[in-house]
Amino acid sequence: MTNPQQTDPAPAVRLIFEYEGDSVRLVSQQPVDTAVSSFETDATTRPGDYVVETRDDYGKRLARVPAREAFRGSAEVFPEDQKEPITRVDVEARGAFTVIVPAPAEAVQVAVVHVDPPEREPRSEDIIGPPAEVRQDVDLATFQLER
Amino acid sequence: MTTSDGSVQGRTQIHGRAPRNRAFTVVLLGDGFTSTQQTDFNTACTNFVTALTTTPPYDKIGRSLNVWRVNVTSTDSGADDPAGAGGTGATARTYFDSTFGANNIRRLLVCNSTTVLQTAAAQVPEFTVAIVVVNSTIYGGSGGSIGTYSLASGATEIAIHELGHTAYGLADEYACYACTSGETGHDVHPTGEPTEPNVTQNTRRDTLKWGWAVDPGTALPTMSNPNCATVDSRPSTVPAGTVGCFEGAHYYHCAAFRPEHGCKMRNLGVPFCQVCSQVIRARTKVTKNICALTPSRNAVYRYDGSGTSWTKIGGPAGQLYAGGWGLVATNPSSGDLYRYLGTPDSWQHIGSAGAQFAVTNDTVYGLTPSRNAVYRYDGSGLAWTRIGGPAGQLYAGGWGLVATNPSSGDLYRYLGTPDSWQHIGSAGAQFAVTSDTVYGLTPSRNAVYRYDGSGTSWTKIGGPAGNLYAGDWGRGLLATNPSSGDLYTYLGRPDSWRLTGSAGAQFAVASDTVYGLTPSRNAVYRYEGSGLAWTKVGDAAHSVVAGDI
Repeated sequence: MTNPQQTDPAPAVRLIFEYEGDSVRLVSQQPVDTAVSSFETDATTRPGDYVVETRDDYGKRLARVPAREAFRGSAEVFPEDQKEPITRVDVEARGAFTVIVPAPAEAVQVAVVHVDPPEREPRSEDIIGPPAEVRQDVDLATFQLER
Repeated sequence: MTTSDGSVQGRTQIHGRAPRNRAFTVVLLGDGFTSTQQTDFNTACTNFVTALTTTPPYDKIGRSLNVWRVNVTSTDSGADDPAGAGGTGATARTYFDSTFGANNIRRLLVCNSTTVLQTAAAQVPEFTVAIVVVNSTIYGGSGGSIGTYSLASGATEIAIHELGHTAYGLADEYACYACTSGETGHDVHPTGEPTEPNVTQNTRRDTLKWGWAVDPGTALPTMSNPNCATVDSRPSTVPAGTVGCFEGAHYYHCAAFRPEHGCKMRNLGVPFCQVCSQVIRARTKVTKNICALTPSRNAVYRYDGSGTSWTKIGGPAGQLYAGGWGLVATNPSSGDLYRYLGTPDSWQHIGSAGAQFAVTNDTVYGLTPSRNAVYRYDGSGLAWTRIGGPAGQLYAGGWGLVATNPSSGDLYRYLGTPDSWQHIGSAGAQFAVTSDTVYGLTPSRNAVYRYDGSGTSWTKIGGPAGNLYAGDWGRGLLATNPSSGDLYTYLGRPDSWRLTGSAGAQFAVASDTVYGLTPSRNAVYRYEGSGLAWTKVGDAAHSVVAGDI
């Protein structure tokens, strides 16, 4: 409790993306003074999830947060009579989402990542690539952070 | 049908007092409200806050939640209502381009989510969730990265359900997808444990992800679907509120389980189940929630929330006290009280020495060194207000402040204005305050009682106990066995307790789980929520405290 001094909180950036199918575009990036909860930075992911990563100059991941509800191909339909079930309907995967990512000084790049996609169309380069059962995360797009 | 069809008027905070950079923040934006209808939007926002903050567990979350409204005018009133989806065919020029009838379903109400997110970010940069309130009495709404809902009766339920997805990562608990008669392809959930905290394929008691909430006497699975070709629509076979494993969830009739028979993530118009409530309580708090004082009391550390990473946030301290209002510590030499301001080594001197302090959701209370008066911190500088006379012990939590009479030991509740106290019970060996009541241990420690909320009425909820610990996690109360020291979690009904861990020197109940110091105080452990699994998260400590830190 001695020698109190003010320390700036870790910097963070809000990112807003637009997507259509698996195509994604960074609409805006904005420094924001807020704590990024460990609920976001420590979130468990499973195959098929989408996340946003910050990376350093060497492409090393610095932080990863989930992109909840992004790229979703269905929408909920709510009944007027609340005794009736909520249902889902298929929709075009198109819209926008936002995340806040920790952005330390070494973060120079941000990537939208499809985690271990469960199904992937075979491509010609896969023939000489890793065995089909060895799946990897897929970068849908990468963008430079404005620093 | 674009942003040329209106303008952003500005923002107003309408609920909450959390520091903006450490708050869970909901932003409400209006669409289809003309310049002369802004009062209607303001009223709708007030109604939303009322609906949200009277919905458990939001009713007990307190100051962690900030709500803002962003007033936006539209050229026209209402929203598009396409005739092709059964609507009136009306069109409306609105800022966010809201329309009913998406996918030819009239009550599927959508808008331009990019414009919504950009507007919310420009007005309230730290926002957590954005929700659009559409000026129409036609029933509708939708979820996704933003929520929408109309002014129709009951539509706020849509927004609250959608918060469960967008903000907390909760899964849908309904057991079908399109839910049409004869639906195929949703009989049996594919193998693979969902990551969401409120659905599972695992019914093993020792590893169930919400095992912390399951009474040892509850069967697992609790209800199995006898016909996987359809949704199990039978009423519950166990009392409402029983936590177990109910088959049918995550869009599948079988092989996926939900924690309770009913939950707002399954049907609108019903409460959140205990498991979803716990997730909401824990995750609404952006702040860290556990601190430790080193064995030699020469430094204060804050747990970073994962692994074994801790951050030093302060120097020597005599005692730590924490709660919803934050963390305070006494100077080991002078006894003066300091408040932690949220960044390492940033503390504010807020008061002089006291015999004891206690932290509620709103402030900190102190007992003078001679225990002849109780004071309330006014919130700024070094100003305190005397609120009561002599007291023996103070106990505080989300429910408020209670104090014992130094002579009789009787328990009194502080009613919020100086010298206004209510006698609520007789003496006890120990008391513990949760978010909704106070619990007491009889003088001989042979029974645990729960205060019923009025008069001096208490209900016995357990037998002998050694110590009580209270906080935000689960039902809020844990107790130790007086013989073995083993830790038990109270499950919300009399005599319903669950063994949670072995003996410890001290425990601290945080919003996400319970933390414990080993009997020799040589390590800090965190309870993992299922079985008897604990993980070491820190080394030796003198003490640990939990709160919004």
